[in-house]
Amino acid sequence: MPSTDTTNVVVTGWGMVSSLGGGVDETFHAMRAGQSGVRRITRFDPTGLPCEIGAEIDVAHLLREHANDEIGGPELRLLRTAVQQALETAPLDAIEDRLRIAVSLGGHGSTPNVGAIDTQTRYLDDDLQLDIEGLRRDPRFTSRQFTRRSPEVAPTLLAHHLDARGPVIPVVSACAAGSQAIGEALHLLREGRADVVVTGGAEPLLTFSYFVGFAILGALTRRYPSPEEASRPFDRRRNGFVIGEGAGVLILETEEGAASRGRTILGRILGYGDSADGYRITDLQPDGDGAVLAMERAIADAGLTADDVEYVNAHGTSTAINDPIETLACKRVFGDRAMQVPISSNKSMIGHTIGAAGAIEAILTMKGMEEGVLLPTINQTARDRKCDLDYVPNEAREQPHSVALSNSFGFGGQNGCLCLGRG
Amino acid sequence: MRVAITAAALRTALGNDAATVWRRIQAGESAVAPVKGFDASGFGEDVQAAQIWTEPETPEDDPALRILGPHGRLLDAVALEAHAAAGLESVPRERVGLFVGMGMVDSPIDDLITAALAARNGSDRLSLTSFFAGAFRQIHPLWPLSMLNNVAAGQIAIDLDLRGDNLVLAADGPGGIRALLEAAYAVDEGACRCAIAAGVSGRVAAAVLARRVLDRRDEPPGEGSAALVLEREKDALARGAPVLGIVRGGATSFGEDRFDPARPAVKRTMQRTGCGHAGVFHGTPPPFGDLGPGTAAAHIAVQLAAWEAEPANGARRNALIVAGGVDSGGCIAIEEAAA
Repeated sequence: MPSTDTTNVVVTGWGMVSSLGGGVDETFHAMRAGQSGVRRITRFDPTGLPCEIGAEIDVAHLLREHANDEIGGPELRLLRTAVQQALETAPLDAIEDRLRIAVSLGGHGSTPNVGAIDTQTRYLDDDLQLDIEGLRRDPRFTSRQFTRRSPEVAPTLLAHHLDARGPVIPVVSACAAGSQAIGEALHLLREGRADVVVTGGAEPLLTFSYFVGFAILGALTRRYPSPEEASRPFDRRRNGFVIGEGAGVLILETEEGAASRGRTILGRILGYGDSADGYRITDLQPDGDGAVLAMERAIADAGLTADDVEYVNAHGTSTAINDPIETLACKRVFGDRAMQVPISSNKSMIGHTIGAAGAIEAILTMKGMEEGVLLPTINQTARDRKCDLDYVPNEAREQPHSVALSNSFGFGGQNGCLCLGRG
Repeated sequence: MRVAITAAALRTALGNDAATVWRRIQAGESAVAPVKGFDASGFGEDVQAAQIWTEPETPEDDPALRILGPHGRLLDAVALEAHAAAGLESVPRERVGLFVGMGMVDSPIDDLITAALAARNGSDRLSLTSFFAGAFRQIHPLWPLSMLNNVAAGQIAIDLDLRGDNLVLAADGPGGIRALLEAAYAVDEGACRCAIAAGVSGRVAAAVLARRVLDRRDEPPGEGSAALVLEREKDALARGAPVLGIVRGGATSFGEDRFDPARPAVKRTMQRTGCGHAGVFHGTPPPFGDLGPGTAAAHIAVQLAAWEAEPANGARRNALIVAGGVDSGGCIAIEEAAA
């Protein structure tokens, strides 16, 4: 249902860490040049796994560790880094009523690492019952590993860090989490429940247990000529996605509030749509129904029509099933215009940053509008007859545009779509 | 805000319907007892919980059940029951939203431990080489899905063929109220015609107890779930749905009151809604245990049952449902339905 609220929500700050850089500009310019951040994994030895690559960040980009990172895990460190960048243009210090600052972030907490699992195995008896007392006495064991697994911990600690005392909304809808977190932030501002919202998402550093989960699911790419050529959304030779690390954070305000604080508008959140896919936990509906609903709702929520949309930042995972369904969904939404609406996937260069993807891709979409550039989908060498739209193949395109969609379709069945505008 | 509650469902250690739970609470019963199912003595000699979960005999037979885990199955049960009770089959599937509060999921770590044991090669140390070279294949292929917090909500949407708003929040006690409030706002703003708002606290496992020790939380954990169906009062009346109660609004608080984190939320809720403080659930651990994100919806369901069991003569009653976490709190105001 279209929003009846006319409150304009704008972006006044943004920050990012990705495999292609420690900031928004650095990442954007590397992607504009068609670079890939995908490499052989270094966080652990992936030898023997069906997939040995990922899009890792350079930890030198991150802020120094803070005592709270012990509890909040690497997700918190990533978020703190991205937030610090965002605060450069949208500082929160001058906002006296801290109850009016909200936090809405996507993520999923940490996964137990192999070391923790190894420690636990030492305290199992023959019936696999755990000797809790023995485990607690072991200096290698910390119950904080359980805290780090709770997805609300990092957003809550970030709110503490910022002295933000408004609502804290930790969204955990997997690949759609970043997008849905921004959508919830939009609601908070439109409904007058906050004046400023710190929003976005983070995907922590790769761990073996997390990585191997996707590997044994068969979701990751297994065949690739080189790491840089592995993520190839919409290309006929695609065969799975590449996991990426990263974080993206945005500061959102009402346009009125931003003007009163003298802020520069970097972009606009025009509308948001979400939907349940209601088909299978791991697959989109074959007719793209859930994706279509999310996209149509975002456009309607913005008070626009499909004819107003000039670009789509695709979910574009590089999996055999997702990409043709997203293509079909775009055809259903745009009709005869579908061939004229450029679509590209950032995941071809920075991999799938799961909990951060929606936020990172939203920022890159608005940065593209600011620069008048459409980022490319790299590794387009073999046309798939089911993926026959304009995916901005291999090279960035200079093209002014003012309205775009950013799609995020979650593993598990939650879909989110943001309608974004130029600042 | 006047959002109608048109169905409530719950699963707790004191019963699987609100009227029974209320009756047993009135009788002074408590389901809180020493932890069973595993050796919890490491967490203290008197560690207690309100448990209901019993392991199905053949959980591997159904992939969906295995993915869902105990928390997902508890959540799915109440969502389906509430959906049926509210007669939502007649509401277009695109207009039914789903708002879920989830705690830390009950990830089956045993799956990983089995792989780790296989990588020991007879020694007392895990060989990473062996682990990476093949032992990891002993991890069940569905394990990763069971780790995702949003999978249970996805399964509910599949089971009920829903297409509406779909939001999953990671949340402890106050977060359950946050999920309820987001559902109420979505209904009130017209983003969806009806919303299923639910929360769950899954199996009491070692990880759950460890977290509570760290958070210095004394109240005994409970296993259970609860779901409410929310819709605009006028819409509910128009389609002839039973109105069990009214959500009048609420608030959350964070980092404001170190000693009583929920107090600012209660104060703001009273200011915003005009609801008084009669019937406040606050400070006393429920006899069905702390259900985390499911606590608020369970309290509301029980309060509605209590009102129904003991009709008032006079003005409609109201209640404030309160939840407090380590540094955050939440409050939601409900009002008795018209006779």
